[in-house]
Amino acid sequence: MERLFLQGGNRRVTFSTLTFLLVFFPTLLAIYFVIPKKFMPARNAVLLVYSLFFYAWGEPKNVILIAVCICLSFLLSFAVHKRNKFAFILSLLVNLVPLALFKYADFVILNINNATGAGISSLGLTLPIGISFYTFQVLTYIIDLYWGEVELQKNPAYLTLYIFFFPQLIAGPIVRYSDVEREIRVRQTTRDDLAEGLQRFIIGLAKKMLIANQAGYVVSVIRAQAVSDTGAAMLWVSVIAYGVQIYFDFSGYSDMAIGLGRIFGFHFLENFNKPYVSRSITDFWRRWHISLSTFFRDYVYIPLGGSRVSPARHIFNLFMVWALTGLWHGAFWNYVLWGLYYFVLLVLERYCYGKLLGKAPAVVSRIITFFFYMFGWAIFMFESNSLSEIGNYLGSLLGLIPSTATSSLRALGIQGGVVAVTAGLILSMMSVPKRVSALEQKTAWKMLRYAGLICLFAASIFFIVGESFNPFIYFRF
Amino acid sequence: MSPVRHKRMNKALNVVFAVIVFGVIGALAALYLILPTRAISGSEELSVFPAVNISSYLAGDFQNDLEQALKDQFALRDSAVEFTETVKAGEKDIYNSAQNVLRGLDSSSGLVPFGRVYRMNATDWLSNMVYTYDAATVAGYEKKTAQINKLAARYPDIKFYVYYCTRAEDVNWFDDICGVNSYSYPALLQSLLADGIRFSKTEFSDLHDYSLKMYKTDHHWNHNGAWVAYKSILNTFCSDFAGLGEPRRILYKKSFGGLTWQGARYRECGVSIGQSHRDEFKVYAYDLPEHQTFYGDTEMSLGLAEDYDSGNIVTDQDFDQYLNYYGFEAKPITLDYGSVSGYNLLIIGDSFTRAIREPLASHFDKTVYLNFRILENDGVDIDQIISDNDIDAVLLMGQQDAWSGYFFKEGIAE
Repeated sequence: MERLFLQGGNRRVTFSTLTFLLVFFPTLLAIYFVIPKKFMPARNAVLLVYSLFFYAWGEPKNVILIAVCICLSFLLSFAVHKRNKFAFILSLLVNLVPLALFKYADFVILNINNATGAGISSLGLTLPIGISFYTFQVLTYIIDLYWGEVELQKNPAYLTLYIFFFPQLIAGPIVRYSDVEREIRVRQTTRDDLAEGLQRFIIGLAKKMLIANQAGYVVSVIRAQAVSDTGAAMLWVSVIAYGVQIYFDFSGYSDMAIGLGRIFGFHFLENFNKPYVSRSITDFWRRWHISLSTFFRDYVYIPLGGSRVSPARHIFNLFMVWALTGLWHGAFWNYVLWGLYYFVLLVLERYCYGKLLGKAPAVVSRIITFFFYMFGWAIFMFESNSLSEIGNYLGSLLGLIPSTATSSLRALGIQGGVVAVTAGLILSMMSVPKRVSALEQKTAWKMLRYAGLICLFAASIFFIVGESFNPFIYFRF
Repeated sequence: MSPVRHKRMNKALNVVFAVIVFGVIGALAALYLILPTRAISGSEELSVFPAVNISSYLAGDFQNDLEQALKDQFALRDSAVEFTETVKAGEKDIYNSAQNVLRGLDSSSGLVPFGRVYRMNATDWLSNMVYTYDAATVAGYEKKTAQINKLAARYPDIKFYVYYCTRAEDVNWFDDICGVNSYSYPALLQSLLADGIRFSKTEFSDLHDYSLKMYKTDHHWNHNGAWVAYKSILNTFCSDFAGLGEPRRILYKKSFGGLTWQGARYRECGVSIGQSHRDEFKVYAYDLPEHQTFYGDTEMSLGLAEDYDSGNIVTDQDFDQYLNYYGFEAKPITLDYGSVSGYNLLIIGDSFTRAIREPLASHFDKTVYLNFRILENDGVDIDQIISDNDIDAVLLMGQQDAWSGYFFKEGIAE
């Protein structure tokens, strides 16, 4: 019986809980597939009820908030469909104001207080889980509807299902309405879909339980020490471990969401494409959290003019996108700094050394890029509103602030976790050889693969039972 | 194989795969219904399935309790816990059951002294040398027990209990190698107490049991040890008082993001071994009723527990997490639980009491807690406390030095 403080409680149903795997998932499957295919509205009703239950399990009180946003968005959508600008702006506000209030109000108050000494009381609101994700999903519908790129959804249950559908509700991927518009009404699950979806789900679960959580344990143990007691080498171990944790955690969650979607007949777009093999930062952001970067590309960057403008305007456009990307992740200065860090890198890559990097041997460009995104994770992981604290931390990381720390992996008892970090790093950077890809068509190979997946599933359940450390990083955003 | 057959074979394989996965899920779910519910595993209390309750659902407790019960009642739970701990540490279980010793940091065995501190049988657990016969200490025991006996004699209607908090030094783990003759102070204490004063002490069945209950680097009991002691003391009370109720349920185990700390033994032996020895700081959260806590006359919470819960934690390895979580007591502490059992309790104890103070007090209407030290130094009027609070039971508990020092101020128990 263990509740982890520092990381917050974990009472939500996540895919990596026994409540989900042994209660929620099998009962949903049984009820859903008992209903004949031709009764799609009934199947959708089951999915909707279970999705509401899924969200309400962790956030019973906040269901009302989303319900109100969805209701207002639905009502306003009729006017938005007729290109009514007022309704369009109002529907944007209906969704963005709660996000601003819950996520950023205290950040603004803190900074006003710091700047003016005003002493305004913070609101202390608890961030509704998944608000950043579902808000953006509603926005894709509203904006695309205003632009005339999607049809008006006249059935409120369908719109609610799109937003509430449990696999992507709380940590993405940010599914655009246009991508699932048809599948909400018409879809089917073949035996191949079921097997493919299960495979994808198990791979995601194993990524989360076997790699991400072990890497996360390494991070938490090292970070439990004061920065001044840690030493640069150990700080870098924690940064690399964090890089492995966040990739396997988030891509694992996306795999599970995509797999679950597939089981119920939905085809979500990929959210990751081996980001750690990137040869430049531009390349990295084409591969990392694709649904978020394409959201900002299509709804902010391109409307601002994209790259087909003057260099100064282009730099401004990039600045806007990356400031927003940083802030989207959290109301802390380190996230703003993290966004601006990528803004600077992307500007430099575009206007200074990008061509040089492109001509460099793959191994060199990968190593350089590796350092850049890992340093980015160092800024990202140090959640703080104190710029001096962030500065001290980064200074210690770069060895600019001397430390007398002598702690070792063995002394901290994290050797096992470091093995998982190393394995994760290798797995995230290797490509499947063509010979192995060709084998995938062979029946024997498929049997072997399925046997391996079943073992991974069993091991993942063992880890769920055996350990209490099970946070999903992106649930916070 | 023809393409058609290959396709059929693949489809069949997909079905077999899905059936196996769902079969595993179904079988695991079915085992919960078949296997009996377990209440305890080793020194840990296991969660049982919670009753459905709207208010606990809205508070999120039901969800937590259900997930934890699913984990704790899982058919292979113990193996899973052992396996994940092993993987995390990157080495085998710290306990070697074949040799009944705990695995150490290196292959050497026996005593490795670091100043006054020793590793127990090449384990990660540290201790001072075993207690030996000391005439002055024995004289102290005689004086202290005489005071306790007089106090008990003055209040024949009040039940008196003495609980000895056993430490590593009380149990001679070194007998076979160090050649030191240990001396049993608990036995001395018991023998000196008057008839009618109930005596009990912390028991360790073996070194493994010890490692489950006590910190590696500190002499105090950890969350498990405190929980076992709490139940044991409550059980002793129940033999004299009806209606004290069952032990309070453990809601969950609090951990603080891998927060580790190093206790008194570490501080005595220094960095060379200390770097390798850390204890993870964890605390049991008990299902306690609403109550008021007074420090002296001021109503306030004790220690820094609220700070810990909100994540405001000092992570310095030398920071005494045990002391700071529970808080030091330089004044009398009163815990008022309202009408619980109709009885009031006086505890006179030492630092060991901190970890069990609240759960123990929750079985009484009112509990007054005094540290031995303030009783000696400040001369708190114990008769006044007994009279003002209508005390029904007095528990004196402490480790070895509590019984040879910290005497009641002259006159208090005379």
